Amino acid sequence: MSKPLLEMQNVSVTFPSGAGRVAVVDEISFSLDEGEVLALVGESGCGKTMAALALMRLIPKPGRAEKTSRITFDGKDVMAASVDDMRALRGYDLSMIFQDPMTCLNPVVRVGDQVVEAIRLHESVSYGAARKRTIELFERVGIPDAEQRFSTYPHLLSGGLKQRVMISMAVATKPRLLIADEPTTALDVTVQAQILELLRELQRDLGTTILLITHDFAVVNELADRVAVMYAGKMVEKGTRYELLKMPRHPYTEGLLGAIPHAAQRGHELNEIEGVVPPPALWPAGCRFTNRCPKAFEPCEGTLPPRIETSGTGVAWCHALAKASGR
Amino acid sequence: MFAYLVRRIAYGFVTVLGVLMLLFVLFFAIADPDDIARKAVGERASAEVYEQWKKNHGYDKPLIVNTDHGAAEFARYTDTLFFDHYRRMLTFDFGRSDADDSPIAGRILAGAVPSLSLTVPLFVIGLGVGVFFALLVAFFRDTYVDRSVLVLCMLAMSIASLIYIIGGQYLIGMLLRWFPISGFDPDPTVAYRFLALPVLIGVVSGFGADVRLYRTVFLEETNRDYVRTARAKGCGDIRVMTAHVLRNALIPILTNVVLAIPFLFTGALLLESFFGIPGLGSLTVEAIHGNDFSTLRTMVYIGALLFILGQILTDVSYTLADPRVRLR
Repeated sequence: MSKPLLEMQNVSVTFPSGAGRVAVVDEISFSLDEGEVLALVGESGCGKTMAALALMRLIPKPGRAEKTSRITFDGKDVMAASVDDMRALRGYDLSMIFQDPMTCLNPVVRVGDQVVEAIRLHESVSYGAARKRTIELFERVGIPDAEQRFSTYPHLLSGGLKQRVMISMAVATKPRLLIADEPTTALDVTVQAQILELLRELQRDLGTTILLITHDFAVVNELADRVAVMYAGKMVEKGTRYELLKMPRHPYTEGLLGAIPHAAQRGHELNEIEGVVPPPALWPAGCRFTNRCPKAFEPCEGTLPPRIETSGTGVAWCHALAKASGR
Repeated sequence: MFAYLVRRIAYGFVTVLGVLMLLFVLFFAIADPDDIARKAVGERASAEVYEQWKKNHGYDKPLIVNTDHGAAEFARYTDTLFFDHYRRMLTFDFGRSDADDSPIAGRILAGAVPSLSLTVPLFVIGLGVGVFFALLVAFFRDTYVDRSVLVLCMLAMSIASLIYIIGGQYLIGMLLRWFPISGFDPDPTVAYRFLALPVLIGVVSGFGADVRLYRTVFLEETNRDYVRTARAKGCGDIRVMTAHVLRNALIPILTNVVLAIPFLFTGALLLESFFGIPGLGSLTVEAIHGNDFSTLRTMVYIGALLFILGQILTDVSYTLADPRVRLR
């Protein structure tokens, strides 16, 4: 088997707090093969966006990725790359679509020029050539009247169109890896489906590898080959889409799937996971899901959960699973 | 846009009428024309001289109602100080100085050149320096560079501008002898020597407040999502700052800046009087000291006009800087 396109090993992201630095992403690892779609799933604030920003080396100050993190992209050591190397990588081989297209486009620059900038930062082409390519991209991502839309400003476009602009910007240089950070969260449901369809098409046509960050299992089901579930900065379960959606092993994954409304019945309250995610300073020393876990027992609170191989392709970190499997 | 401008100018005209009303109350009702005339001609002048002076300077009519004319006559209301005041100001007929009988319009025109040659470089250099340092500290935010510049700004803001003026004159004009301490020469090949010191001091005394204000604006912009997008597509730090942050930060900065442009004409009061520059600021200060009410009145009126103009300019400049703003 060839080397994976992306390897994240023991990646930690810390922010300073009253008592030292708190790891909002705590030693997570995952890898992505060329052409694969991996969904990174978890509640808001579980650190999935920070993990992606660590890969882009764009963690907002005063946060930082810890030295122990190993990130290898296309054979390159991202953690050790120079500022210039990173700049050449970002937006060229490695691009990102953000959650909120309303605020992620520069409000005072014409949308076409924002895509042109993305092209011309990495390729020495004339403005005219980049403009032509941008209009083609706009047509490719389904922006009607691409020629006229080139010169409009973001506030004149709908959310869906803005996200299409973001996507055309991200795929303009045919990146090796596309990070899609909740690409549909800020959009209307009907538009969400269109954008997902577009991403799937692009993935099929360009063979782009996608790291999909989401909390929506419908999105996971649409796009992902494999799934990694995070909770409170820790990886809790990884596996193929089929394994995760049909046979979740970790209590948290079970809880998430159980909370999807289509499984609910009329007249009954919606399922939920009891409690809320505690703030980073109050995370338990052992398994971080302890205080909300229906299966929690004595060792959960104090000791880190063991890594359990749930199948040939799946792993989970859970004391209860370890006990059930007799280890 | 055009309809908006017409409406704004109409509103502006109404505001001007209100300003003139206030001026009338201040300069004719509260400051009594009889007192003004008496001060001007001196206590021992004869009644004839006194009346003649009042007539020459247009103070010889009743305030609002002229009872020399009948109730049905227009002149009963038009042949008054109130009406004259409005008529003269609106037609820019400013009359003669109460102090030395020279035409006020001529004095203003003569003062405008020295004023502008001080305030325009001061404005341009001050803005450039302020924006440059603010970008720099915003770029180095939360580092020692940022903090030391901030402390410097607070220090600079805490020192009264008089200290800068006198200290600068002493240090640079007297000890180092780089530039003359004060004076002015309209010949441009010489004028810069006289202007260098006041411009320098003006820039320094405005530095602290400007940098702090612009820094806040820039910092607010650097935390926006589109800046992250710019970085994600591979923009370097300098490009992020100049092509993205500066362009957006321009919008709030414009309010501050465009509003200031009209006041370049009224001159810098303190700087002009301390450096002996015969500009409009000096003119105003002299008018205050010399009981020259007609000149003072005119300067206040021009200041108000320029302020209203500045407001309209600011709105228009928004549409140029921000495509989201459309004036209707």
